[in-house]
This record gives sequence, structure tokens and C-alpha cells, in this order.
Amino acid sequence: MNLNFLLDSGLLGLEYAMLALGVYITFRILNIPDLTVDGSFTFGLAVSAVFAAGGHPFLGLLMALLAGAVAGCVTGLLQTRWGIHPILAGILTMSGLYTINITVMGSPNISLINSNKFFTFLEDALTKDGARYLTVGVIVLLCVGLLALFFKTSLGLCIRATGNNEAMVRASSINPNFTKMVALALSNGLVALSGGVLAQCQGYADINSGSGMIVIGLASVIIGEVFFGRRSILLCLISAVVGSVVYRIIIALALQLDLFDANALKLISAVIVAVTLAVPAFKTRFQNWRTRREAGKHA
Amino acid sequence: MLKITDLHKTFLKGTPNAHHALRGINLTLNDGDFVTVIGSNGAGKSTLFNAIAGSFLCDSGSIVLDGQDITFVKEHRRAKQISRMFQDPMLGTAPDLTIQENMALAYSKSVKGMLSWALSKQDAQLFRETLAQLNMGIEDRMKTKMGQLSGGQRQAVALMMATLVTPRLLLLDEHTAALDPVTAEKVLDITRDVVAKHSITTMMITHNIASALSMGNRTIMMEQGQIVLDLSGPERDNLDVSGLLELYRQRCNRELDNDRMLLNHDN
Ligand SMILES: Nc1ncnc2c1ncn2[C@@H]1O[C@H](COP(=O)(O)OP(=O)(O)OP(=O)(O)O)[C@@H](O)[C@H]1O
Ligand SMILES: [Mg+2]
Repeated sequence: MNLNFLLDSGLLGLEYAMLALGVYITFRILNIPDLTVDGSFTFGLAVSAVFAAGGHPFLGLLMALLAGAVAGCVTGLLQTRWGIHPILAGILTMSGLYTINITVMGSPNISLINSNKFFTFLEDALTKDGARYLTVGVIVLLCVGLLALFFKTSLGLCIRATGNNEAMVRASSINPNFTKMVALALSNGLVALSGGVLAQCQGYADINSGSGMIVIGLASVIIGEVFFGRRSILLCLISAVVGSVVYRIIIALALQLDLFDANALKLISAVIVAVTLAVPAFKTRFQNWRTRREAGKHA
Repeated sequence: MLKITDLHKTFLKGTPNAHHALRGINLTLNDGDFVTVIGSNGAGKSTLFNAIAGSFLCDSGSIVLDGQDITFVKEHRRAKQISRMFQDPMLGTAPDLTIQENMALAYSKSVKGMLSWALSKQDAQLFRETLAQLNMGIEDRMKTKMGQLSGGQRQAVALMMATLVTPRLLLLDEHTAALDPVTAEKVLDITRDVVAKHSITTMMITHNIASALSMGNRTIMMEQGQIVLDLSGPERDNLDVSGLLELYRQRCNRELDNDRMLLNHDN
């Protein structure tokens, strides 16, 4: 068995790490599963590819981040100002983004084979893989570091409280609509950055790359929690990154061993997420069942 | 310092379920007043607090705080001057954040910028010292999640949070009602101390007539969306629980032709 696939999937995991971080922010901190993700991931992918094709790979990443943040703000406005249910707000933005994305790309896919990417400048010194590992690693570290710092500020604390007790945020004289907007912008910015990084790393962008991203993000967050639990914010951020890498390795391993067909990926991911989220419910049920059985014995 | 003029609020206006919950409230509080508020269930006490704090806008009338008309000011903006506590200990604190993070959140009302550190060393020290005043040993558990405290402990911390940045007006809505009698008494003692220490203008809703009379300098009674009794000075000092109940019975019979009396808990 060739173990190179481990390195490859590790890199892929890092590319998707920002997706996991973004999903962590909405799903665990804000307590809203935000479905904008599928759309904003592709938005970032499209914007980054178009800029890279035009000779601006770094600007492409920055613009991807901003594009995602704007998408997040749209979902935020729909939720807070227009009073639309958070899940539906995400679906609406995601759905609308399809048109935007295809307009940005101009065609269903863009190839970047001959364009400079954000890691190209290191390729001569480090080989292609080395350059990608280093640059993506730095991006992930920056994201985790900056997020950890951000969540220690007053605004960061207010965002964490928003998902916990909105009334209390208001009582601290902060508008929870504002904190929700910031969190959604941040989250979708990260998700889009992930899409942007991925597009340049794989050398092409495809309009359908975003579908199912929310499930992959959730799976990464949940897998990370298996290793780290839910303690400090910094650990949670690191755990999302690790979760993303482990998820990729699990998938690659399973494909390598011919456990299932590549087409089954989405189904398997969905099952992983569903089962993990069901664990608390199953636990309670099992405990109730045991209590009843014990009671029956003594009757 | 607080002046409420002819305040009206009808819930579900224009529907068959319309409910005229505030019917012309007039109330003036002086600086440092500690007013206890009593009245039967559904009298409109909580609604009055919600109106003052800005949970909804009223249909007519005005609310002026410190000379500033806040009738149409948003709730989170009023929160800079007005602190509240509720009956449910869950409402006033964030269970998944640590005790010190909860305190930091309450402290962010002070002039600190949004992007400054939420919890500097000095802040943490200040929060410890503040909670040490409770004599409950909570200051040694600053990094414990709020959700792991008992209801009474949470309510005590919530009280310190509500007064960490001294508010102009403190609204306490039956904040000891969910606690056992001993803990309730303790939280009431703390309330008395904190309010006196910073001479905070306070309104406190209670169903306990004895503490309504023993605490504060003034008592108002609400019935069907109106203030039917406003007691202070010697008249209030000379009143005991049964006297107040009698007064209430008279008022409500004569003026409202209603003897729906739910002023229990007079232990
Ligand atoms: N948001 C609302 N929508 C509709 N009706 C409401 C609303 N809030 C309060 N009411 C009604 O207004 C009336 C006054 O309620 P309020 O909560 O102020 O009573 P209270 O004096 O605090 O009573 P209690 O002692 O039971 O807490 C009640 O009849 C209640 O049904
Ligand atoms: Mg009430």
C-alpha cells in the first residue's frame, strides 16, 4: 500500500480546515446550523479562481474571504432584519448564490493549470507539495491564531454569549442582531477562503464543488470533538482543524481499502454526522431502558 | 429621575384577544428610591418593567429617565442605564460561559471598546473581589461554567452582574421567587446591601408582602394595569402585613369591584 495518500489527504484536510472553522462558529458558537455554507464555499472558489486566472492569486484569496463575508451578511440580514427563520435564510442565500457564482466564473469550470497560484513562488525551493503544505499551513495557523485572539475580545465574548443567552447580550447593551451578523460574516468568510484555497491548490474551479459542504464541515467539527471534547475556545478551534484532517484521512483510507465507492462519500458523511449527533439521544434512551429494566427486576 | 406619564399598552391590539395590560400608568421615582411593587397575578407588574426596559414600545404615554425621553429608545440602548433581573435564574446568565466570562460580559457595558480584551488581569481581579462580597466561595470558582452553579448561586452572581457597572435604575422581577426560603432571604440581604452601597434607584416586584414592607422606602400596588396604591413615609412605616392586605381589599372592592386576591406567601 502506498502511504503517499496520507500526505495528500492531510493537505486536503488543511485546505478544508477553514470550512470546519467557519461551520464551528455558526454551529457551535452561534447555535445555528447555517446552510449558506454550500453557496459561500463555491463563491470563494469562484472568486479566487477568477482572480488567479487574471494573475492575482493573493488578491484572489483576500477577495474570496470578503465575498464570503458579504454572503454571510446577506444571510444575517435575512435572519435579523427580515425575521426569516435562520435555516431558511441560509437556504435562500445559498440558492441565490448559484446564479452569482456562475456569473462570476462565466462558465461552469475554470482551469488554473497555467496560472500562478498563491504557493507558486515557493515551488522552486520546496517542490509543489512542500510549497502547498507550507502556505496552506501558514494560512490555517493564522486563522486559528487570529480567531483565538478575536474570541477573547469583548465582541468575541458577546458573540459567544449570543448563541447562549441572547437576552443577556441585550442586557449588556449590545445588539444581538449585530453580533449575529458579525459571526455569520466571519464564518462564511472563512468558508469562502477555504473554497478559494482549494481552487488554487487543485488547479481548477467547478461550479458544483460546494454541494454537501455543510455536512463535511459538520462532520469535521464533530470528529474533532471526539478527540478534544469541548473545552476552551482555542482547543475547539484546533479540534475543528484536526477533525478536518482526520475526516480526509478516514475517507482516503476507506477509498484506498476499497471499502466503498467514491460515489458513496456523501451518504457516508451524512450517516457519520447523523449518528454522532444522535449519540446523546441514544444514551438517554439506553439509560431509561436500563432504569426500567432494573425497576422491573425489583418489582 | 424616572417619570412615567399616562402609559398605555394593549397586547394583540385589534384582535379578539386584545388585552389592555397597562391602563394609564403615572409614576415618578426620585433619585435613590427603592420601590417595592405588589399586586395579584396578571396585574401588569412585569409588563410595566418590560415597558420601562424597552422590551416593546407602548401605545401612548412617555417614559423619561434622567431628563432623557426614552419612550422610543431601543432595549439594548436602555440597558446602558437600566439593569434587570428575572425570576428564572436561567435568564440572567449565560450557562456555557464561565463565571468570569459572564462578569466580563456585564462589564462590557462600561466604556470599553468592542475590540479590547474582554478579560484583563485587572478585570479578573475586580470580578473576584466583587464576588467575594457574597461570601459564598464563588470567587474561588471563577473558571467554572455558570450552568454548574445552583439557582441561588446563579441569582446571586446575576445580581452582582446587574450592579457591576452601577445602573441608574435596577428592575428586580421576583428575583428570589425560584429560590428556597433561606437562599431567598440571603439574596434579599445582598440586594439590600448592594442597593444601599451604591444608592441605586430600584424597583422590586415581590409576592412576599412582608419583604415588600420591610425593604425599600416606598411600596406601590398594581391591579388591572393601574397603580392603585402608592405608600411611603409614616403611613407605610405604620402598616403591617394584615393592614396592607386590608387596605388592598378595600381599594380593590371599592374602586375595581374585584376581590380576586392572590396575595399569598405572606410568611
Ligand atoms: N407578550 C404578551 N402578549 C399578550 N399578553 C400579554 C403579554 N405579556 C403579558 N400579557 C398579559 O398582560 C397581563 C399582565 O401580565 P404581567 O406579566 O404583567 O402580570 P404580572 O403582574 O407580572 O403577574 P405575575 O404576578 O403573575 O407575574 C396578563 O394578563 C398577561 O396575559
Ligand atoms: Mg410577573
